[in-house]
Amino acid sequence: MKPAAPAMAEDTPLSRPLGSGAAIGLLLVSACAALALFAPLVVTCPPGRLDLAIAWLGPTAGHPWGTGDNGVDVLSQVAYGARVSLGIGLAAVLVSGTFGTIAGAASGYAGGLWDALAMRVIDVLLAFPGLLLAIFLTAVLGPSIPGLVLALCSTAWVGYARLARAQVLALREQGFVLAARALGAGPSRIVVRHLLPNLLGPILVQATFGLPAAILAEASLSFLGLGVPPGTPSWGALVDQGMAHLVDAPHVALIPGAAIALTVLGFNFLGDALRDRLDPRG
Amino acid sequence: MRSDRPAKGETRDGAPRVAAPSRDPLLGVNRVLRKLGGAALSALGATLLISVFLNLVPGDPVEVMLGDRAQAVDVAALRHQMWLDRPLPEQVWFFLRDFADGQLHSSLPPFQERILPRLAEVAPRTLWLAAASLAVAVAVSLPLGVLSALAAGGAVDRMAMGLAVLGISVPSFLAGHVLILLFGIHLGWLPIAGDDARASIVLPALTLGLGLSALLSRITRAAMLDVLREDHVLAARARGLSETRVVLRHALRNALLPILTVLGLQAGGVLTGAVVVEKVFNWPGLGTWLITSIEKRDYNAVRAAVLVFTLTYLAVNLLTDLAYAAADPRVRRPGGSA
Amino acid sequence: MWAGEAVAYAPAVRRTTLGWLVALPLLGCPRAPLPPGTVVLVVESAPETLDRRLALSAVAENVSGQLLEPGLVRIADDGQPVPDLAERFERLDPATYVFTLRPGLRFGDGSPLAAADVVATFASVRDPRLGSPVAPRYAEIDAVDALDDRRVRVRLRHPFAPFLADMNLGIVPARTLAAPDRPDFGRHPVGAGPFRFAAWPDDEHLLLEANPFYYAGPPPIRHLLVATVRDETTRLLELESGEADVAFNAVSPPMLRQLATAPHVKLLRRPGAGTTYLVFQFGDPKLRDVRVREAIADSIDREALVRYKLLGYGEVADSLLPPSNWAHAAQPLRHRDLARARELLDAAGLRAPQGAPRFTVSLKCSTDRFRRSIASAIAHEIEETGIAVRLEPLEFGTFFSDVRRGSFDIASMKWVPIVEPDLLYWVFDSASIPDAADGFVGFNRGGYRNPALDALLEAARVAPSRAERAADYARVQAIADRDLPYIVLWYEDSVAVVRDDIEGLRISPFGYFDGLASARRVSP
Repeated sequence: MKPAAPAMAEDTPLSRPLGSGAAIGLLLVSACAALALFAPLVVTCPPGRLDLAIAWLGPTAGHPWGTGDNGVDVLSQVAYGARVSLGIGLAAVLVSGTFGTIAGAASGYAGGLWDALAMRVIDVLLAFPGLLLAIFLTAVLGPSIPGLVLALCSTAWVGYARLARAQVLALREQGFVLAARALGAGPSRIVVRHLLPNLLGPILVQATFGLPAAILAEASLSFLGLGVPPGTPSWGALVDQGMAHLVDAPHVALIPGAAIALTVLGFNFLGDALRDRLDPRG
Repeated sequence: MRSDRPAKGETRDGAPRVAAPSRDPLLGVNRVLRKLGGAALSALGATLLISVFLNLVPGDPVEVMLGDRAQAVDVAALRHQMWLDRPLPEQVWFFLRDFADGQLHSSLPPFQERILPRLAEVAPRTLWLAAASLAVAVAVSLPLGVLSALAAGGAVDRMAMGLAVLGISVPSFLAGHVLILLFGIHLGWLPIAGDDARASIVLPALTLGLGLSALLSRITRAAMLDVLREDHVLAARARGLSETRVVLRHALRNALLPILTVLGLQAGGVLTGAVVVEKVFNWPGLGTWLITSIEKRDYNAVRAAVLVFTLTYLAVNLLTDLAYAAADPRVRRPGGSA
Repeated sequence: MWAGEAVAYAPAVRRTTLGWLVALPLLGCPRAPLPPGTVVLVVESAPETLDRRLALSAVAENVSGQLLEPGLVRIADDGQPVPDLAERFERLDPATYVFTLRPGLRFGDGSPLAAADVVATFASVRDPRLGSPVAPRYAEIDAVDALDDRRVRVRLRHPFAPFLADMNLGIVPARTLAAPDRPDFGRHPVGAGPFRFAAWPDDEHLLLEANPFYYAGPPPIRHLLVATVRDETTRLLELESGEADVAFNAVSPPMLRQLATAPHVKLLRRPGAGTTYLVFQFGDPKLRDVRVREAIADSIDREALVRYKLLGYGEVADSLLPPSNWAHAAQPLRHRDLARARELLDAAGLRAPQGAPRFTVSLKCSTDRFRRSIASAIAHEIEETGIAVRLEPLEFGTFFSDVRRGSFDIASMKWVPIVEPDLLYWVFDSASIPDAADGFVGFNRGGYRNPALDALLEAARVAPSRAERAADYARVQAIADRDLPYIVLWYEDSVAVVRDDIEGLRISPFGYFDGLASARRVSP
């Protein structure tokens, strides 16, 4: 997916008030964060407990949201899964955002051969089916959370890099940068002191959308059987389990599925609101 | 990574700015040649990248085919026949050469299945799925986006855009299974998997199309808002033309170009989304073939499928670019509109 | 089109990639209808070839070996080789056998099958130019000669009892072997089986027809379509809807439960010959201690796993060889005993520090949803002894590569149906420990060594009589049960899902397709 080249874009900001959207977004995101934080208080039994005899059952007193494969408790899986999903999403955004921004800004500032090379790498990654790169990376790295985060970052950084590069290209010719250079500031100082602060707004907006994207991507990988290591409660993995039992135990897939959808929805609403506030071009 | 949905921060971020995605200031033939050269480099890069990965990923076809079998086989001879003992550049060169002259064979023993007929069998199914999904997306999102733009800021607008965000928030594999459950199993109206009946396309196309339409309706809305402010539309309104006429003849027509552009940029997302949707519906297309080829470690098939994915993406992008340049004077003007 | 060969596309544009791209829109035209009464067999993956000499996948072996190209012998349900195209075989001396062909044998195209075809088939499979992956199985053969038109003599380099089971190699006409690397045979095979090749219009659909020249008479099924459906749910739905008629072992137990109550579908089952097991890596100092292996064996509740995970479609195992095998020797069944498991671990000096696990092992399995779910149940049971288990599901290619190289602590696996007890040599003999030099061919992946066991296994290979072999293997199984290089878990049932208008289908413990030769569709 290619973001439109931002620096050259002529903006037409959404003019509608996003007050209610932002409120809904904030509500959903805080609900998810609360679930993650207070998971131990919410659940009625630990997430790791198995009991083969009670697999795929509907709600009971001990298991208010029913049980899934091997008798795991759906409520505790969803509650602890919130920690994993949010954690993986945050880590992926942090890593890909940092790396992408630095790579893009450096490439844009340096220009020349280095920039051409970086753009070529980015073009290849854009043309390459992104899911595939993640599939191969998880196959090479094996099932682990750091491996999963790396797989998610493998293409996500490109978006930040393009954004940062375009911003730097626009900013580097502006008065305050030229002035700093004339005063003898080195390139790293100019990038860190003058360019990066100006980049933060758009990057933050991008990150707000990157987080739900990462959560969805983690769920997709889990659906393909390449997600978190087993035993780790994860929404995507729970949906994957439940798929085979949609007819006789639909709650196992639908409850974590709804959790994914609501969290992603919340972040998207929040992102819309943030963009209207933060994006200097807005 | 790009997930199964084409809607990501970057594109949504880009959505309101589609009115002038001007790029290189280069012009005409020079520009096309440069683009083509870049595309060729990207395709080569993708082939190299996939080959590096294929060499890194453990496991080989013989092991996968044999599984836990109680028989001795001559593994070394098979590896030799699969070029697995050759250096990487040589493997890539053999692949490109055989692909170009149509003689590419499966790298699975007995090395007799030809890749291109297989590709010719699966690729049209994915194209068909992509086309049907686009049709669904356009049918849903154009009215939604136009309506939303006309009522900008109102309750209808907010509801329509809320729906759009909801559309990109539900993972497609879940949406797909819910559709299967509802229309395939409970109501029994539609085939739920495979490609055996004409109606088989409906559920996969709906799943992929609804995801796309979320994004498309946002773009439509933004583009319409843009165009509605332009002089000729204001002029048409001033001439007393009916609102329907103004919207359809003057505004929508002009908004279509940016909509198509962003749609073109989504090609990669559509293709990636197809991989997941094909898996959900057992749709025997390029994505399913690619995944099974990875599982079977059919290196030539994986390379060929990735190359086709990449080339399709590049071709759509190039065409979008050229179409845009041809249609929009601002892009043709030296220096662009940046 | 069914009648034609392969797909109908414009010949002028078939050679180049550009041509293929031009031809794209021409393809995907609707298929011609199937002949009336066609029986549809669904399989999980398409056969890569119909040439038995080149087949690697189970489906290809089954279609080519069981339906199209039978061999001199076939494997009876107890794993013994019995006459097939040969009406009898005799051992002249410990290393020489004579096979006598049935009189009047013909291939599917009507041409006669004679001793010269047998000689040519074995010559071709051993010819390096063919590159047959099964060639090493015939390495013990010194010479194959025709004594006359119906008698073939096979001389071995040295006495080697297991070789008879490999004489099921499909016999093909000598005239098709003129060029040993002729690639077309696998697409248009000719054999002497109950069915013969009709058409293979695309990868997913292979049409066979009754062979009028089959020695036991043509089978009642006139047309058999082998349809590939890769997705399990789709296979299930096609069987429920009647689009498919037969599936052998292509539906996992959770789905079988759903089929058991479906109308117009019946389940045929018998004990299967595939063993599910855990294998230990002896390179790990803790797992090398037999008390630790025994503790892990004691921690697993196999009855519960068979009941809840296999839903009863299986039986608890006592030996690597299934009970139906002629060399099976019953061992005492293990039952879950957590207290004993903990005592054994304490005795091995692996006490748990306060609140921490005794030690951590990794358990590798494949990412297949069903296998992964079973492995996580097993991991959970082992953890109750105080050992921490790190479950590592790996995509199949990666998993199998790791296992072959011995890169695991514990791996959860399943043997394909076991035919020849010589498998025990490949699995437990120290000569079968895989290493890089031999391309990791051995199956003793845990690196287990026991000289007493080696001697028995090697004796059984050359033992003159079946009774003596059985005695050797009985002692081997007792030692394996004590040493526990493997924990055998269960044998999964061989299950055929069949539409209720199909009668007379015989199911094989090995999942072979040969039972189709006796099946018929009764009119509704």
